[in-house]
Amino acid sequence: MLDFDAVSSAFELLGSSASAWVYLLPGLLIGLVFGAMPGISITMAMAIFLPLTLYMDFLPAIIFLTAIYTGAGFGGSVPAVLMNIPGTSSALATTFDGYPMARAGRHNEALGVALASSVIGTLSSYILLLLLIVPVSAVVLKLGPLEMFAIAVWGMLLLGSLSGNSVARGLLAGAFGVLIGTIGMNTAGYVRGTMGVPWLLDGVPVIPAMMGLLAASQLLNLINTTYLIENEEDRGISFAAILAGAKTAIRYPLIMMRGAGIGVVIGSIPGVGSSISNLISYSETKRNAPDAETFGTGNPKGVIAAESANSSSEGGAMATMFALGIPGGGATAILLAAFAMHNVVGGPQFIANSKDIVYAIIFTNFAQAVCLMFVGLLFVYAAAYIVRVPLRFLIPSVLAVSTFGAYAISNSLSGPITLFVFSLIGWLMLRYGYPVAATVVGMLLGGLLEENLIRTLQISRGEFSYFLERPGALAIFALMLVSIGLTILNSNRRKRLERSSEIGS
Amino acid sequence: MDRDNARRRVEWGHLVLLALIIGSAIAYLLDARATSTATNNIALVQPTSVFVFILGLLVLSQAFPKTDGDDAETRASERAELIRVGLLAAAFGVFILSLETLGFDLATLLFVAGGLYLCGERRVWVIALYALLFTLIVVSGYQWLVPFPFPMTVL
Amino acid sequence: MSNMTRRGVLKGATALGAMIAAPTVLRAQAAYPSQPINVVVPFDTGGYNDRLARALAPYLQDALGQPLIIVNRGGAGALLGHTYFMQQPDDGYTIICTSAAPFLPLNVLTQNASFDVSDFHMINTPSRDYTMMTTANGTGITSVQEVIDRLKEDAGSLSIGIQPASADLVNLMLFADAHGIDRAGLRLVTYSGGGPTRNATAGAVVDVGMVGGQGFLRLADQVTPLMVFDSGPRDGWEAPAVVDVSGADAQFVAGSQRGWGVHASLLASHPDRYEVIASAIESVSKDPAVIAALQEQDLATDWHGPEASNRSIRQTFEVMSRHVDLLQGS
Repeated sequence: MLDFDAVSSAFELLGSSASAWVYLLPGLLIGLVFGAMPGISITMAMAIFLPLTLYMDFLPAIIFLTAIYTGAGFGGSVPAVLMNIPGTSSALATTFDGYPMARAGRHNEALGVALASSVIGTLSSYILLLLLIVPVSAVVLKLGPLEMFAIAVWGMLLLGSLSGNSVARGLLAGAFGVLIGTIGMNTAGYVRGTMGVPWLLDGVPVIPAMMGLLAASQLLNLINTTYLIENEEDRGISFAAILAGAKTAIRYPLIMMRGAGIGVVIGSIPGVGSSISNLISYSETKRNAPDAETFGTGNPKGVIAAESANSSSEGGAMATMFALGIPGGGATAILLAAFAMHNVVGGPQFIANSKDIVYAIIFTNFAQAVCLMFVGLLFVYAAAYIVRVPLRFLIPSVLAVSTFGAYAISNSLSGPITLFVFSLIGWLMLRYGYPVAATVVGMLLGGLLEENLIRTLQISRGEFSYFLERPGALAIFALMLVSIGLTILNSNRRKRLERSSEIGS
Repeated sequence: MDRDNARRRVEWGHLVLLALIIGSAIAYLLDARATSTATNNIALVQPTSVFVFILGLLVLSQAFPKTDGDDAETRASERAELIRVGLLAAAFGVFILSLETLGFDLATLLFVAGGLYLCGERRVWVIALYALLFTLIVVSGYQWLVPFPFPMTVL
Repeated sequence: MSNMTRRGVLKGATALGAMIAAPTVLRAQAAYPSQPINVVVPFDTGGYNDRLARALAPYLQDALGQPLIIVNRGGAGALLGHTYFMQQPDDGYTIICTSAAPFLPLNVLTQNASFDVSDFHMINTPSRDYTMMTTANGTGITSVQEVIDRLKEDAGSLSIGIQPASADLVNLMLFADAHGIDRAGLRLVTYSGGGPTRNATAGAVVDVGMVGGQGFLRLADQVTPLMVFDSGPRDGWEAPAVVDVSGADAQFVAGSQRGWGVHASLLASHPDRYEVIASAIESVSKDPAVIAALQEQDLATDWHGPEASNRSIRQTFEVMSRHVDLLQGS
């Protein structure tokens, strides 16, 4: 699989200018800081620094930009764990267990788990990339609307895990989210539900709505609490505990590999990417875990599943970019522009002819992942001090920062207004036991579900035989059913075992 | 609906929430159908909003839970808490609406100061100092990070 | 406005320590421009106009002697950004970098915009796209004649990837009319955005794609071009132009026309300032160093000038307004 000539010339390329590596650290730090600020997207960070790379050589430019990419990918997990703010949609599933862990005084551990899972996720995704870049690229563009619909449905299965005690409330919250996610102009050009507001044509701004539902709603409730973590002795900041968290992550290689696999494959699909992969990985991990019922209350496995998937999506997106010359999202569009400035243009020809450059970039990312482990440790150590800040300071501050972030996303009041409206809805939902996360998942997937359902109907002209022409979609649906079937089987067997052991004792 | 003798309480907030969800589903469906009844428009929206409508009605009874005999005292403290949440939410709303008229700098300063007070800080110098420092740092930080300008009054 | 003066465009650079020589051309205070100039980009960061604005900005600010501040105002098919631009004073301190076509006509014709196309004056639209009919390699379709024959026999026999309410759709319908193809029977598969349409075309998810051709340049070895909707061959594609296929008088709409513009009222209110901006853009667009730098980023710098740029947008608007029914949902 590996072309060793290319490998050695890749190393030559990387060693050719040692000074290029000077840009790795600043890149990672910029990425971490931008990623951790709510509302500052990876795309924005990279767009700002792209002009700077105009004046650099190829290698430093690429090291710098991909380091920002890697750093920002993890940066978003920090506010997700500490404040329940998914700064990007790819950190959504991280909040499910990360934030409960932090509230229970396991913030150090949670950050350590997230960091180690991200690092290993990134590493393994690039290893997978080395092996999979050609086959993945052959498949990815062939995915039709039915296949995409199947993937969206797979993401929706997560609603089952998020429902808590009341399935009806969970489904209601999820379906409500789907409706919100379809507001605006749909894929066929019809405009619905905008109430005449021009900015709603593009739909409800997702990230401000997410921040409102998940974070601002919590903050309003916390007004009657003094600290994020109630027990004073639990508010410690401990390097040892962060490292222990990292060790915890390593103890679940299976979850991590599943996350990385899901991340690479889903991440390579243009327009889907990490925002869906973390949901699917979380839902698969939960359904297959013996302690599924503790997910959502602070189970580190949930964090591992989410973080390994969202960080490995980076590798998948890179694969599509290299192999096909197609950006999977905003960040890879910028990378592609940066490559183009140096006459590096992706595509099948590029993969065939410039293996050394591809390998060099992959090895660069290995180095970044390793560096991220150390830089990230210091970063999360510093960030963890947030738990020591009394809530009377934290509440107005975080509300204000979220508002700045919401404005930064839209460059108009539409973001802050969305944030406010959804913080009220989220507060009501929390108070009466509706899972807000289900609404967020519905909102994220609603558009994807709708456009691909419509395209399936358009392309098939409503004829059922189209299903039989799409073996890929049938395979995804089959995989989904098998996975659900195994879960049911497993849980039955577990129950039987429990019962028999009860009888035995 | 069971008709036993246990008393039922009305959760008004819960009712508001369900009314909002059910109401917006109906309004959305009507709006979508007014745009066009083509499959390309309502293939997903119509079944989903009907689903939300039915599910909402099924859940409606949960807004009238049986009273578990909570005494007046807990309800009074709950009311006090609710008032604080309401005040904070109102302050947040005013903050957001004033962003472009007052400028991000002034609005943030006032909101953080007011928020600190609402959240229980009473030392005036702490409120003033923190609000000032926070505003300076966050405003300049975001100005630096974001590739376009924010409306400001003073800074 | 004074708040904006405090933002140096290259703040990121200073932070890194990688200093780039900032423009230090000093002019007399009274002369225009005496303060930074805002460039409104009515799209989010990362798109073509954003990249064009940011790539040209360093050169343009050298020529103007004042920093340029890029202001992204994306949303609602550029309607929000265009409206915002129109609300700014026409004093030459706010200019715009936008896809004047098709978005200005679309805003006016389908979105009840508060402005007219003629309220904008484009100084130069270097990037001029065109609708291209394309198929993936290996679909078995090799020529536009084949598409015509198959669609004439059964309009639904081929699936066509296309954006709703777009210039591409107008072109498809004009093409159908010209060759006696049943409009209503066409099997349209709608995508929101050019990128997804191209991906679906290159992946053979749809049989034929109708979308801007320049975006295909990077995918050139994966697709077979069938026809370009322009008055002659474009970008080296081995495909006939619409005038060769449907006749010299064939009707079609030009594709996206992206570039630099100002308030039309600036010409009357500050003709001197307009001259400064226009000549700065012209000299920068013709500078070989700039052309080379932008070409490396796949960005166009061709100089067509205000007259040709505005004429072309007016024509696009006229054709689109004749087919307004096609632009309102499908």
